[in-house]
Amino acid sequence: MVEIFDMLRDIIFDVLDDKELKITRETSAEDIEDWDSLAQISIISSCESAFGIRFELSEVLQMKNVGDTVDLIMEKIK
Amino acid sequence: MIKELKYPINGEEIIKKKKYLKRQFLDLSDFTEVRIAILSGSTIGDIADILELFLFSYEIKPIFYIGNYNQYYEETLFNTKDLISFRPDIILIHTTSRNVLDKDIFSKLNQVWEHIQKMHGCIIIQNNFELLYNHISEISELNTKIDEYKNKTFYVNDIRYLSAVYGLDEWLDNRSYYLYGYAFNVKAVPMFCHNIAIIIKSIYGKNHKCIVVDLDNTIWGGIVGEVGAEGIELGKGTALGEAYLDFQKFLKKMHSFGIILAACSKNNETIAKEAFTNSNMVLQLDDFAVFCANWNEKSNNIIHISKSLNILPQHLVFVDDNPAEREQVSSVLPQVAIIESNFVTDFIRYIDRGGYFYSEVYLEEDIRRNEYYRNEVKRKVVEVNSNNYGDYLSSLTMAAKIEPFSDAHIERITTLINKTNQFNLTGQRYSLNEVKKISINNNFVTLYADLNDKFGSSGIISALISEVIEGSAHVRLWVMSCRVFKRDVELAVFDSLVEECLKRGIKKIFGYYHKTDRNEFVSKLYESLGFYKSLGEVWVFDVDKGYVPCNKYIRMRKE
Repeated sequence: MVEIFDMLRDIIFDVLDDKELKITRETSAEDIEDWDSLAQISIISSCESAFGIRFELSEVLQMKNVGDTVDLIMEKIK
Repeated sequence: MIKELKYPINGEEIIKKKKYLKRQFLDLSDFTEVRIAILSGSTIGDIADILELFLFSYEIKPIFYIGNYNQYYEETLFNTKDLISFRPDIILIHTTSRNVLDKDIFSKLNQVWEHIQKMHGCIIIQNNFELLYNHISEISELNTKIDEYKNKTFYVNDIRYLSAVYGLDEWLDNRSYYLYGYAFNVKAVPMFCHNIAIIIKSIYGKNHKCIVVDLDNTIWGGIVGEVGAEGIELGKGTALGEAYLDFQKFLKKMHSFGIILAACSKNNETIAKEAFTNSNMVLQLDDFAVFCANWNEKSNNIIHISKSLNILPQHLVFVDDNPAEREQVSSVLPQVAIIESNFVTDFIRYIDRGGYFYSEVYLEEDIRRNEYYRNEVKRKVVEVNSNNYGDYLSSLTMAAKIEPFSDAHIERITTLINKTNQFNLTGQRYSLNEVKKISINNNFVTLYADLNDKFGSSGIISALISEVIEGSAHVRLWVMSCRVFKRDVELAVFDSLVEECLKRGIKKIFGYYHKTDRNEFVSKLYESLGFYKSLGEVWVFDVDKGYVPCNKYIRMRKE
């Protein structure tokens, strides 16, 4: 669980090009100015390649914050 | 060149690193400013960020106007005020297959184009359409109609082709659309932007000019020094031989379009030249403007090539099968575009798709360029054999036509303005439209020069724009092609300027020198023409009736 969170956090750091960001399970795109649609898609596709999964449209819509995303990835790689 | 922004494009990586990549461009001061309006039929906001990176890599600084979501039609035809006050140089119409099923799409687009030509007179870049299952023939027909509209101010961004290269199923990944309104897969955005940037830089005269090739295992198989001229692999007999043959045919074709060829090989010169006696050889020794076969470091040879052709290293493309040689060149000359592959089977695709020489229509100027460079070599021979430089210049029997800008030459003049860096006093850039307007404005004195000599014509090689304010002429722009440096053309142009000023009763000429990274060459020009220094880099010349022309070697021709 912690590992997935850490990996996702690193992906977010990477895409947003900022290692100082404070990321928690509650963090969402609204909290971070540079987290625009291109960044969002980039985070999603990085997760897809990193974990070898694919998110369906309905699943992307469910991902409201970092915690949701971690849980969804968890479920998919189980 | 920044590796990430070169073919082959890794879209995911560029999107991820876009901020990092932007930080690599620190000094934009010498970049050409281009005002680009993007009008769209789907989401585009973030496309501008990526497009900007590619334009930066071509030394173009874009200023964007971003249209509203899916309002391309309304914004050009009805709500036009903002767009007019933006004064676009280029309008990019970003429609995609998301718009293709709109009613009367072609007549809609046609109205938009006609209206833009009338209202803005600027360049249009129009996407064509990717194929959709069940609509293939309609879309193909539409694309043909778009192609037929092509002209010097209308360019097509060929997404039908891009989507095929990317893979249509991947390209049409509709999650990007339903989530964020992107018409196609977001990961394809960088490749899409690369293609637009290639079109724009070619319009602004920023294409590469010369291909430098290694010889052994690059344009033929094997090492000629070991196997001899008839032993090298070239021609239809073997699989590899055929690949090398095709690459030579490709280079020959590029050469016929005006791309300069140069050779750079670690070799014994005599042996390397002997290879060209091979009966299957397509390229001739004559096709190479410079032929370097020696044991020097390749970067030194490339510097030599760049100097003897008077072409900046950033306008060279280097092909070499040996990664160590490529690395050596790139470490000394990072600005050279290097084809990053060891395999002859990749070379054509990398050069073509890299867009280094992209051109919708090969301009007559480009095709004649090789002739200029060949003549230049002949001139050098005369120069060496002359007693002094004056004798050399008079033996060339040069003749120039120096006249105000006229409609027939506006495009060539604009290209010259935007691609000249060394003999460029102010670094000022002008769009086609601006040059057109200036050419018919009485408050400007404009001059262009067209030069020929006994070896042939050099075409239009210099342009000058001066603005008349309260009886003084202010030289806003003065450029001259490096092809004719040290031939006294600037003296002939200046004589004509003074003549025109005398006619108009202009008493003073103000010259400006704005230092850029590359125009050191002309830092002393105004001084040498007899201007005196006013403030900073402002120079003044008093026009008086007793003016004695400076030019001695160039005859004026009128026609």
